[in-house]
Amino acid sequence: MANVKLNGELLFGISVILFFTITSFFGKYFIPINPSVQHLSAAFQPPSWSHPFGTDYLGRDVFARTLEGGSVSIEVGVAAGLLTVVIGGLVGIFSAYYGYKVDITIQRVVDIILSIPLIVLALVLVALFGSSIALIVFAIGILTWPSLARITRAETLSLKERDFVYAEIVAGASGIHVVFRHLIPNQAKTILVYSGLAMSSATLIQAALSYLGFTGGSVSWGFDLYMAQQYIFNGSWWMTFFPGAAITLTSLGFYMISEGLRKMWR
Amino acid sequence: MSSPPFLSLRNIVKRFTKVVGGQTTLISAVDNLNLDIFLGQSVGIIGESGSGKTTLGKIMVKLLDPDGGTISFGQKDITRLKGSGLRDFRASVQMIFQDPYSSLDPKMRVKDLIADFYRLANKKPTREDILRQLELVSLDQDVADKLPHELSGGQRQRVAIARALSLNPKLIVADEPVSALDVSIRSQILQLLAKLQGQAGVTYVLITHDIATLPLLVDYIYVMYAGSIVESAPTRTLIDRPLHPYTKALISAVPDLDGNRESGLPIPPGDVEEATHSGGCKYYGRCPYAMAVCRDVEPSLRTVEKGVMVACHLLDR
Amino acid sequence: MLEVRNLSVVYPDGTPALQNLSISLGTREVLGIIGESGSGKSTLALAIMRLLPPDANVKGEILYNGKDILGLSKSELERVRGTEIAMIFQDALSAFDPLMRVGPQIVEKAVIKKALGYEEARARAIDLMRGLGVTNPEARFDAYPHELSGGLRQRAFIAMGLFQKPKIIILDEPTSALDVITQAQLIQTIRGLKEVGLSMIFITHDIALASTICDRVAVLYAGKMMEYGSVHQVIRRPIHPYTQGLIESTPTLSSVRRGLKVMKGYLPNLKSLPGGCRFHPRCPYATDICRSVDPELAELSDGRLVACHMAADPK
Repeated sequence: MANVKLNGELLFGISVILFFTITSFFGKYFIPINPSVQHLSAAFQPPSWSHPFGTDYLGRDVFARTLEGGSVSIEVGVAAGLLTVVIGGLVGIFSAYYGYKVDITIQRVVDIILSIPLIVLALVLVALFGSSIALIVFAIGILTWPSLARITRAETLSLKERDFVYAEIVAGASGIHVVFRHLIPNQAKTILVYSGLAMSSATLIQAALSYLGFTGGSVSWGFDLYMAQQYIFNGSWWMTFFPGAAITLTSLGFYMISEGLRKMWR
Repeated sequence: MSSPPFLSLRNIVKRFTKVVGGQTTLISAVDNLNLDIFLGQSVGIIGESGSGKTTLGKIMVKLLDPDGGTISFGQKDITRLKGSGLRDFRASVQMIFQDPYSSLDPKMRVKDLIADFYRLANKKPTREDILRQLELVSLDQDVADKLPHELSGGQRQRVAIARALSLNPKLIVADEPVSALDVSIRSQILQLLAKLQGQAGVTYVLITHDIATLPLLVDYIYVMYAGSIVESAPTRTLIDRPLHPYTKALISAVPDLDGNRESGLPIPPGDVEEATHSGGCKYYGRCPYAMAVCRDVEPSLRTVEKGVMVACHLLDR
Repeated sequence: MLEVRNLSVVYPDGTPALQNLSISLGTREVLGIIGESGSGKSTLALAIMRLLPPDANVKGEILYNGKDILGLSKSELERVRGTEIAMIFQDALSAFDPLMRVGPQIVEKAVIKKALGYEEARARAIDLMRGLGVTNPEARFDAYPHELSGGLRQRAFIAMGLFQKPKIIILDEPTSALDVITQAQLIQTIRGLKEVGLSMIFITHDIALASTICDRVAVLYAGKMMEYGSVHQVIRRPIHPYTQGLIESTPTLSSVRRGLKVMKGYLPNLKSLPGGCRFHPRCPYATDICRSVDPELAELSDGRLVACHMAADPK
């Protein structure tokens, strides 16, 4: 990882994510507008100096809501992305390394999970455990890890036939040692590139879930988008535009980081 | 030999399935093989591709489990053992691989590669320990901080040897240790291995197809053909007076510099993959001295004179 | 027949692969090119076949029957390749399309080029394979590459090379991936080709192997020719220290009696060659002039060429 050659994608991605992270988490200290306060009399106001992104159907400031929603989206995006990477990476590697029955069993599990629709799972989980951010992170993580598992499994299958792995076994290394000290470092770049993709799709999935109402109790772009839909025809474009743009940019930002890393390491 | 063997293989069988043109056949890579390794007596295993020698090597270091037979380490049967039960074995038996380009983790520096093995033996190596290992294999100090791709093939092989030695093994199984190296470098590595034999007190099992590399390092040679040992003898005896027709063909086929070695011996036709006969002697289809009995009865390995064993009906008289 | 004059090749990344190489190949002759990795031996073969990357810097002349191969037009080149000069290399498996049977690949070029009928071509190919020692050639013709053993595949490769009846065939490490016995079989086959009038350039790292089949040899080291003469001269009585070292340090059965010498040092990095004679760091006879001046090839009284300041002329 010695040569870090920045490219356009990487710069774009890092800037976007950094921007959203800083504004969502620290913006509240500079822009003291409460995203949840309702001013019914001031509803449907177009963007102006006092309300840069306008107000929504309940008179709440859209700008403040956009910033607040960002904290959820980034949190879930990063956390669910990491969960996916950790589970998917380890499962794929161990499955390939130990092979035989372990591998076959895990592959069946992968196939089963890939066939479960996200919404059904989300509904079941909410019914069982109630709605919360942690649950959303968990639901996304559980459903998206199989794709990475397939990748790391393939990579590991070829790596484990290399002589240096044999040398480790002959020297008495345990499976854990081989996986953590040799198999993972040799796939690190692949896994890192994938983590960007995982975070990108996690962000989109979270937006989709909150669109359907699974907000986890917080302000969320997806839900705002849902509510704003009904009002498109009265001309309040700002209510759909800003949350929509935010979802797109954030997801794109993670994706660009992934692309940038991939290009840098080609 | 009065002392018990260090490592003993009995009736080892290993089969692989091979699919050719829609037909699946079962091939015996190793067929009912017996072998004893004694400390202090380095042996060579010579064979060509398809002889099963590499498979045998992997079985010997327990990288591969045999389909049948037993492996005894000292007095202990380790055939079915795995994991922590093999700790003593793993500390005593090491392997050096043919390809210096894949036997080192490309992400680790030389010093870490060596330290890694020390840690597997539950020892914490100091910088001095690492440098001492490098000196043992005649590598400069500055190699310690390099990555494998910055080293030449010969240097990488030296690192692999230094690394294997850091566990203080009693036995090193070397599978074609110089075949992948440039010709002018081979003798350096062979000389190194010879030096270490005395210095570090290691015994070698040298697996190769190049019989000329054996005399420097081993006192005894086993000749493998299609999964079985067909002849075994002390090194000079085998080279000067080979008995099995395959061994004779092998030795006369090796190109030599002292004039064209036209020993008059016909070159056997075909090769192991296609021409292995089943039901009798495996060499039947290619042997110039084949008799009727060779077609139907597989010859067993018998002692012909002191230390010399051959599996051939010609010597049955 | 073939004359290489002052060939120099520098690869696009700046690596000097060959320096001022001159060799010649006569009719019915087997010329051996002996070298290790980085010697330039494969580069020479690729240069003759004009298979080097287009942006490689190639200087010098390669004359085939008087015409410079390096100056041929594309159509002339396509005519020369295969029909006049053919090449076989080490890995026969990668030389064949794994999805096509072997037979059609052997006859492909001839059928396309000279409009030779397929049935006729098939018969010729089967005869050729039989002559090369392929057992059951009719069946092998219809086999896929992976279904053949290494030795058979190499023979099929040779059949492919010989099919258009070239005058010259270049063999680049043809037996390196094969067993000793299969190698011996192949060498016997190759010797047979010599009888039939083919001229060959035999490239190998195995000096003992070269001595069994070559008439003359050129020893290359790090892109430069070190010694050039008949096998009798260069291999039986080598003069250049590298040739000597190579012979003395190659493990052979006779080295068992003679004892094996060790050549010290490493093969140099072509991009940072030592000053003076490129072999001097490893040479037991190196003196000051060796460290500062790169020796030119000089002709000795017995007709051979040697590039060495310390070469003693055999009287």
